[in-house]
Amino acid sequence: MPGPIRLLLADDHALLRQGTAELLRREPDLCVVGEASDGRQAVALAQALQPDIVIMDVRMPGASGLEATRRIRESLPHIQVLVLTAHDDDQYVFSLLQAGASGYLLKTAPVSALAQAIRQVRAGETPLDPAITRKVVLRLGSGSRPAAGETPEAAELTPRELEVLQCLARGLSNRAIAEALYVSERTIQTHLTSIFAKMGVASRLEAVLAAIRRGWLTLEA
Amino acid sequence: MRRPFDSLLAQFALRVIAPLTLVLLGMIAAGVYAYQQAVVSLLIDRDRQLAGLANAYLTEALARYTRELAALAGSPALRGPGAAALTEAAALTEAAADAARVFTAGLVLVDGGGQVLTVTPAGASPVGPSVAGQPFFQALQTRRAPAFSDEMTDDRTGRSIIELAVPAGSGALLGAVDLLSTPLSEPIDRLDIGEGGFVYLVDSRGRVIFHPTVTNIGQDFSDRPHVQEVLAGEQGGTLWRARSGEEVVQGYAPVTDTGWGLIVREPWESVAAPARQYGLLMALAAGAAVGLSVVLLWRGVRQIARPLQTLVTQTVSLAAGEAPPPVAAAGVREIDALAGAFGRMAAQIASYRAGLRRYVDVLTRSQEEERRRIARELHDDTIQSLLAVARRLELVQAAELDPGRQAQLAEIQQQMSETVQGVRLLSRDLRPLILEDLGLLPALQTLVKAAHTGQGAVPQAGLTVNGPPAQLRPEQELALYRVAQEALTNVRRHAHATGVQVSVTFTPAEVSLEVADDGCGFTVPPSLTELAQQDSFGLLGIQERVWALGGTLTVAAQPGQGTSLTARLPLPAAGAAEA
Repeated sequence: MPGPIRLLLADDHALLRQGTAELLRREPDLCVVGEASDGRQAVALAQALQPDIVIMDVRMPGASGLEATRRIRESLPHIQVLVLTAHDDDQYVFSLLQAGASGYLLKTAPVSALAQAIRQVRAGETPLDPAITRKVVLRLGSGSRPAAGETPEAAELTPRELEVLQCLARGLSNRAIAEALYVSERTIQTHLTSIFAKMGVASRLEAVLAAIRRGWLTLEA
Repeated sequence: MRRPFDSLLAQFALRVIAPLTLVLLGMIAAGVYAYQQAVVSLLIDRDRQLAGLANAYLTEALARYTRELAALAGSPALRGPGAAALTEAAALTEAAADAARVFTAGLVLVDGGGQVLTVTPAGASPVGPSVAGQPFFQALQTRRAPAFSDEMTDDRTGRSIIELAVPAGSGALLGAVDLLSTPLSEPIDRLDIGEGGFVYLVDSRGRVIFHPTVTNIGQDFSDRPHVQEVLAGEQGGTLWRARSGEEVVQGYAPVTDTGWGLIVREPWESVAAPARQYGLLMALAAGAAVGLSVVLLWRGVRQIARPLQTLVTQTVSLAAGEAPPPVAAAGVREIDALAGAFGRMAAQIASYRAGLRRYVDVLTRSQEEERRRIARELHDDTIQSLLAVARRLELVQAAELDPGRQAQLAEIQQQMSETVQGVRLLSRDLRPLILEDLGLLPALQTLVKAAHTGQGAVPQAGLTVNGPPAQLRPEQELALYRVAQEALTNVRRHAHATGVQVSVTFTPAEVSLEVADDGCGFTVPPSLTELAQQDSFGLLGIQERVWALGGTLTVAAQPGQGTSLTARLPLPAAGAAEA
C-alpha cells in the first residue's frame, strides 16, 4: 500500500487556495505538503518539497502557470502537474497539456472531482474536466484544414480508431474505453498501438494533443 | 463626372488660344485680301494708263495718215476735172509710200453731195456709188475737218474696212483701210503689254475694228460694259470676268476725235502671278508667326498650369491623409501665394492629425488599460473570491448531514458556478486574458475558431503561421489581436464569405498579419478616413493602433473578389530584441 499522494497547491488567491487545501486534506489518501502563491514559488517549492503532483493555477503573478508547468516538467519530470483553472477555452487546455500537464480541471468542479482527477493522474491517465470533455468532438470532414506540412490525414485512421482517440481525449483509461466500446482491453491496446504508429506518437497524451493540433478533435465553444 | 476638355490647359486653349488664333488668322486673311485689292487696282490703273498711251500712239498715227491724205487732197492734180486727176493723184499717192500702205482698199473722191466721182485703183468700190447718208461724211461736211468712219463692208470684196475722210474742194477724199491687213497695229505694237495681253479697237457702234484675233474683227462687242463705258467717252479700268470664265484686267480710253474706243486687256492670271507669289509668301510668313505665337502662348500657359496641377495633386493626396512635399516656387505671385497657403494648411492639418493621433493613442491605451484592469479584477479577484466562497460551501456541505440542506447547498453551488461562468465571459469580452496568459497565436486560434459559429459564421476559417515565431511586445500582440478581431468581425458582418484565412508571417524584420476572405469585397476608398464618414470607425481605429507602433495597414478589395487586410509591424533588430 503506497503512502498518500503528496500535493503542492499553487494559486495566487489565498482564500481559494486555503479552501481547496482544507477540502483536500479531508481525503485520507491525499496530503497537501505545500502551498505556493505564484509560479516562481511553485517551481521552487516543487524542487524543495518533491511532491507527487502540483495542482497548478494558470493566471498567477511572477511566472504564469504555463511557464511554471513547463519548468517543472523540464527539470523535475517525475513530478506531475494537474491544472486547476477557471478557463475552459481549448487553447488553454491545449497549451497546458502541451507544456506537460497531466490533467486539466476547472475550479468550478467540486473538490471530490478534483480528488478523483488527482488519483487518475497518479494512475497514469489524463483526466480532463467533464465540462471540457463534454465539448470534445470529432471535427472530421467539417472543413478545418490541418496546418501545412502536417500529415497524416485523419482519414488514415479507421472509424474505430477515431472512436478510441475520442475516448482517450476524454481521459478514459483502457478499461473504461473497452467497456464503452464493448470490446476487450486487449483489443483497445491493439488499437492504441496502431493509432500511435499512424500518428507517429509514443503516448496517449501525445496522440490527443496531436489530434487537437491537427483539428481532428476540438472543443466546442 | 470628368468631361474630356475640362482641364485647365484645355480650357485655356479653348478660351484664349483658339479665339486668339482665329483673330490672327482673320487679320491675315484681311491683310491678304487688302493686298490683293491693291494689286488689282494697281493693275487696273496700269492698264488704264496703257490705254491712254495706246490712244496717244494711235492718235498720232491717225493724224499722220490724215495729214498724208490731206496733202493728197490739196495736190494741184486733184483740182483738175475727172478721173484723170485722181489717177494722177493716186500716182502721187503711190509715191507717198505710207498712204499706199495704209489705204490698201483704195481711194475715193466724192463731190459735195457725197456722189462718188472717181475711185482708184480702177474697179475698186469700197463705198459704193454714194456716201451721202454716212455719218462720217455728214460730220466732215459739217465741220470741214477730217472724219473717221465706223466699220463698213467693201462693196466689191466684202471685207471689213474703215474710211478716213478729209475735205477735198467742196467734196472729200476718202482713204479706205482694209481691217484684215491693217497698219493700225503698228502704233499699238509699240506698247509693251504683258504676256497674253493685247489691245483692240471698237468703232462708235461697238463693232471691233482691230483685234489680234482677226475673226473677232467686225464682231459686235457693244453689250460689254467696258465697251459701253468707253463709247460714252469714259477712260477707266475694270476687272472683268469674260464669258469663258477667265478673269481679265482691262483699261480703256476713247480714241481722240474718232468716236472709237480702245481697250487694253490682260489676263489676271498672268499679270497677278508675280504678286500672287508674294501674297503666298506673306500668308506663309503670317501663318508661321501665328504658329509661333500659339506655341509660345501654349508653353507660357503650361508653365503657369503645371504648378497648379501639382497643387491639385497634392491637395488630393492631402485629402487622402498623406503628407505632401512642399510645392516649388512657380514665379507667379498668385500661384506662389496659393502654394504657400497650401503648405501652411498642410502643416496645420499634419499637426492637427498628429495631435489627434496622440489623443486617440492615449485614449486607446487608457481604454485598454481600464479594460485590462477590470478584466483582471473580475477574473483574479471576483471569480476567485466566488470560487473561494464555493469551497467554503463545499466544506459546510461536507459537514451537513441533513439531506434537505445538502440539496439547498448543492443548488447554491450550482448558482455560484453559473455566476462564475457569467463573470468569466464578461471578463473575457472586456479583454482576452488569453493574450497575456498564452500569447498571440493561441489567442488568434481562439478568434478563428469563434468564426466558425454564430451570426455570419464562416465555415472555412483557418490560421496559418509562417516563419519562426518571434517574441513580440505585449502592445504589438494586442494590436495584431485587435486587427484580427476587427477584420474577422467585418468578415462576419459584411463579407458573406465561405472561407477566411488568417496568416501570421514572421521575418527577421517584421511580423505581418493577413486576414483574407473570399466574400463579396467592396470598393476601397483612397483613404480609410473616408470610411469614418460612413460611421465605420473600426478599420480607422486599428489603423491608428498599427500606425502608433510604426506599422502599416493595407486593405485590398474589389467588389465580388474578396477582401484582404494586412497589418505589418516592424520588429526590433536582432541585437536589440532583448533590450
